[in-house]
Parts: sequence; C-alpha cells; structure tokens
Amino acid sequence: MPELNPIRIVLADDHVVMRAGLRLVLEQQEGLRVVGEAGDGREAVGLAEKLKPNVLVMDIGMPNLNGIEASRQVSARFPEIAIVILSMHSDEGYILRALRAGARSYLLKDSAEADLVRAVRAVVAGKSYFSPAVSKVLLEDYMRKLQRTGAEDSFELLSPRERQILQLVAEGKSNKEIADLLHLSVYTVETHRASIMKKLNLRGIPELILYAVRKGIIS
Amino acid sequence: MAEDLGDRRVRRLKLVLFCAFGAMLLLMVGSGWEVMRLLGELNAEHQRVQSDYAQRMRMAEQISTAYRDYAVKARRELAATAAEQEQQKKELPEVTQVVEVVEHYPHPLTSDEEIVLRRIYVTLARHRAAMQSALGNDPSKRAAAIQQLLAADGDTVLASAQGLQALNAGALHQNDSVLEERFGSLRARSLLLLAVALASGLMIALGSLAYILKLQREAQLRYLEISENRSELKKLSARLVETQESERKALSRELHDEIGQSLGSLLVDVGRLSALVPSEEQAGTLVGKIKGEAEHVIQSVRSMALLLRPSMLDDLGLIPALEWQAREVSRQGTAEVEVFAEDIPDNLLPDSYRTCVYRVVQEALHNVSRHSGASHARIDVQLAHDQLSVSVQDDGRGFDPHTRGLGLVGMGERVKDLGGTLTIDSQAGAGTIVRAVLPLPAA
Repeated sequence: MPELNPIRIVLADDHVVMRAGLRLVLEQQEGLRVVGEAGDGREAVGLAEKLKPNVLVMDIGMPNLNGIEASRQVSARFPEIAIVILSMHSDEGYILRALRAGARSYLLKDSAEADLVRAVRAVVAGKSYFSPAVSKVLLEDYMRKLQRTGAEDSFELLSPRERQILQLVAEGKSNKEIADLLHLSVYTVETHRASIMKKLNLRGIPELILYAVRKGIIS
Repeated sequence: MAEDLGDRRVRRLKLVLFCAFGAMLLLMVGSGWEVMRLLGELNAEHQRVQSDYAQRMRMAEQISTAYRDYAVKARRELAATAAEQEQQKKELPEVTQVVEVVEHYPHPLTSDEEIVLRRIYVTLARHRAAMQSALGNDPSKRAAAIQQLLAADGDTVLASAQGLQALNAGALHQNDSVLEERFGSLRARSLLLLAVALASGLMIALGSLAYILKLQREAQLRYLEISENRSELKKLSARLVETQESERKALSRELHDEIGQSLGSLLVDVGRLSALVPSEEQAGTLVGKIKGEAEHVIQSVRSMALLLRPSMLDDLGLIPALEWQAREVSRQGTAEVEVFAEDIPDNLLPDSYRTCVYRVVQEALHNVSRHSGASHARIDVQLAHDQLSVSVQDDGRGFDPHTRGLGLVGMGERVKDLGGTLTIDSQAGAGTIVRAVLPLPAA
C-alpha cells in the first residue's frame, strides 16, 4: 500500500554493509522510504541537492568530505533537510560540532537500529533527538566537572519560566511558536532567551541544545 | 687502529715537547746561576785587588813618611848635640822604626817588588851601620858625615818607595786588564747561552704551534664528524616518529573503518534479528547475549583505535582532539583538565603540526595523571605572531626538569623537528608548566 506522503530519506555511509542494514531497518517502517544512498560526503551533498529528501542520515567518518563538513554544506543550502548524524563517538567534541554544522540528531552506531526510526520521526517533527547513551556521557562529564571545580549548577539560576523556554528552544521551536504557546509577546521570549544564554554562559543554539541534552531536558 | 696510531703519535709529540721545554728551563736556570756566580767572583776579585792596591800605596807612603820623620828627628838631635860639643855619647834616633814600617809592607807579589823592597832593607841596614860608625867619629866631622848619610840614603829609600808605588800602579793596571778580559769572556759566554736559549725557545714554540694546529685540526674533524652523526641521528629520529605516526594512523583507520564498521553493521543485523525473535524464547536470550558481546567488542575496538590515534585529529582538528583528550583524562578521575583555546582553522596547521602538538600534550597529560598528583590542569593554545604556543600547566608536586624521562626527550625531539622549542618549568611543590612554541610554516 503506497503511502501518500512518505518520509524520504538519503543514507550516507562509506560502508555498503552498514547502509544495507540501515536501509532494511528504515524500510520495515510504515511511511519511511530510502530514496538514495551515498558512499562519501561529496556524493551525499550531491544527492541532497538532486533528491531534496526530508532527512539525510549521515556517518561522520567518510572519505572526500566528512559527515560534519557535508552537514554544514547541506544545511547552509537546504535548511529544510533534517540531518541525522550517525557516529561511533559519544564525545562532546563531535556532538557540538555536528550541531554547529546543522545536524538535528546525533546517534551512536551501537544503538542505531533501535534509535534511528525514532530519530527520523523526531527531526521531521522539528525536534532534536540524541541516543540515550550520548545523553548519559554528556551528563556524567557535566556532573563530574561541577563536582570537581565546585562550581554552582547554573541550571539552578534559571527561573521556572526560563527553564520552560530553554526546553522549547532546545526542542527546535522558534520564538514565535514559543510566544504563541506560552501566551507571551515575541519580545518577552527574546528577552528570556538572552537571559538564559547569559546565565548559562552559552554561545549559540548548538551549545544550548547540548546543554539541554546534558541536563536531560530533551533526549 | 688509526685512532690508536694517532693517539700514540700525539702522546710522543707531547713527551718530546715536555722534555724540550724542561731542558730549556734547566739550561736557562743553570746558565743564569753560573753567570751570577762568575759576576760575584769577578766583583770580589776586583774588590780584593782594589783594597790590596790601596794598602800597598798606603804602606809605601808610610815608608816615605817614617823615613822623613826619622831624618827630621835625626837632624834635630844633631843640631842639639852640636851645641854641647862634649857630649859625644849622645844618641841619635834609631832607624829601626822605619824598618818596622817596612816590615809591615804586604808580601811582595812580583820579583821587581821584592828587589825594591830588599833594596830598602839593605839601604836601611847599611845606613844603620854607617850611622854607628859616624857617631864614633870626630864631632867636627861627624855632623857633615851624618848629614850626607841621611841625604843619600833618604834619596834611595824615598826613590824605592816611589818605585814600589809605580810597580803597584802597574800591577793594578795589569789586574784591571785581566779582569776586563775575564769579564769579556763571561759576556761572550752569556751571549752564547742566550742565543742557545732563544734558539731552543723558538724551536719549542714552533713545535708547540705545530702541535696546537694539529690538535685544532683534529678537533675540527671530530666536531664535523659528531655534528654529521647528530644530524643523521636527528633525521633518523624524525623518520622514526613519522613512521610510527603513519603506522598508528593506518592501524587506527583499519580498526575503526573496517573492523568497527563491520561490527557496526553486524550489530544492526543482530538488532533486527532480536526484533524478529521474541525475547522470552531461548533464541531471543541468545540473540541478546550476542548483541551484548558485539557491543562490548565494538567498544574495545573503538578504544584501541582512539588510543592509537584519535580520529578527531583528522575529522575535527587539533582543538577538538585536545578537548577530547582532556575529557578522557578527566574521566579517569585523577585530575580535571580544561582546555582554553580558540578554534584554529585546520588549513593553518599541517598534519605534522597537529600531530606534534597533540602528542606533546598527550605526553604532558600522561605525566600529570601518572606522576604529578595534580587535581587540576589546564591546556592553553594560542596562535599569534606566526607561531603556535601550547602549554600544559598543573598544580601537582612538580619535579626536577633535569631528570627528564624518555617521554620528555621524545616531546623535545618532536618539537625540535619542526623548528620549535620545548621548555619545562617545574619546581618541587610548585607544579609544572610544559610549553611548546612552534613557528608556523610559511603559507
């Protein structure tokens, strides 16, 4: 039974066996269709341009152009394509750079099979999604650092309203959407956002999302 | 063998020079002493001759004076007795006092002197006898006879005394010329010695010069050899580092991309399998077990790959790799490590620089967590004025940088290969700062 509006997906991974496995996982699901496969970063950018998929699932370690660079190019030119990064690394350095490059979701390959479908559906809905293992590692690093340096948990500094807005921003909502949801003016939301960024000492949305994942506010 | 031969020759040359120098020194000391001795002798001789001369002159003068005294007294007595004609027995002064003076004259040196001296004796003896007989004469004739005797013998004695003085003066002159001759010969000998000393000194100087030049040449040769060896060693070590790095990289890639990816897709398949098999069945638990095992293996492979060479270094760049390294060390639980750095565009840093900095920091952090006992460490990376400066600072117990281990030596070599410098600042109880400064390659 052909669906009316299937989610169109492009897979980019230099490993053929891996791609085949992922394709099987995705196509077992209703409403998901893999429309193209790329073997390296450059090919992935080309396919994104040609096929304009809804979701681009991409490995980081690829020849020619790595997944992060490819994400940067794709999200700059086609912001409507949601990018899911598949990686072997649960390190913050990769995650933060993937987010800065425009990725909306970051999955560990260990758990790809379990999380991939959920991640694809989340990013299509405009949300972020991270493997639970990633959140765990980030949280552990964060807690250890707080404990060691004796620093205050800056989350405590936020007012309940600010925490609410932090979560909505991290989930990918725009200022306008947040304002409508909370019955506030866009200006007030902007003020809250600036205050949050200042209190948490964050620079940019990727760091905010990373922070939210760390704190378990989003997954 | 050639080394031995050269050594033996050098040793022989050294011995010859040493002996020659010693001999020259002995010669100079000996001849100097001899000259001094001869000069002293000459001086003493001169003094003796002078005083002898003066004594003889004085004695000759005394003879003249004594005779004149005697003649004056005799004439005075004679005049006194002339008044008292009768007193015939009246005695005249004896000539013995003159003889006594003559007897004090030093031993004659020449036969001429002896003849003159004897003449004086003889004259005085005859005079004495003549005076005795004259005293016995008729008083009228006596005075004239005595007057004549006194005058005639006086002439003889005084002339002889003068003769003695003349002889003396001649002897002095002769002595002077003898001394002069001896002095002349001494001077000639001294000159000869001086010439010999100068000649041997010159020879020794030339020998030493040759020896020094030879040593210098050898030292230069050896220096060249050593510096050549060192540069070869340096090249070798750089090559070794390069090889190790590229092999690590290849191995890490192989582990990560081939084995890791295969395991990854295996895991995906196992995951799909477990979705097909109900978990309460025996097959389900088995699939679960396989999945757990595969996850474990994949984790190990990944750690191994990262240990060999972190993929961040190639995928993300230097700073993310350093941040990862810092987090890894922090996770081990000994020290909390923070990185303070701006992201450095990768096109500014060639791979060799990234690797060098990464390995230096890795080694420094290894020391921090293993030995320093530090609770905090910070990594600072700065890019300014065409040079990259990286430092790792801890608050640990510090160490003596001079007792640097192999790891630190390796760090130093890596940095030096890229034309940079590595400094280690550490004091017991005051922590450690390891700092590497690398000049950036010309763009």
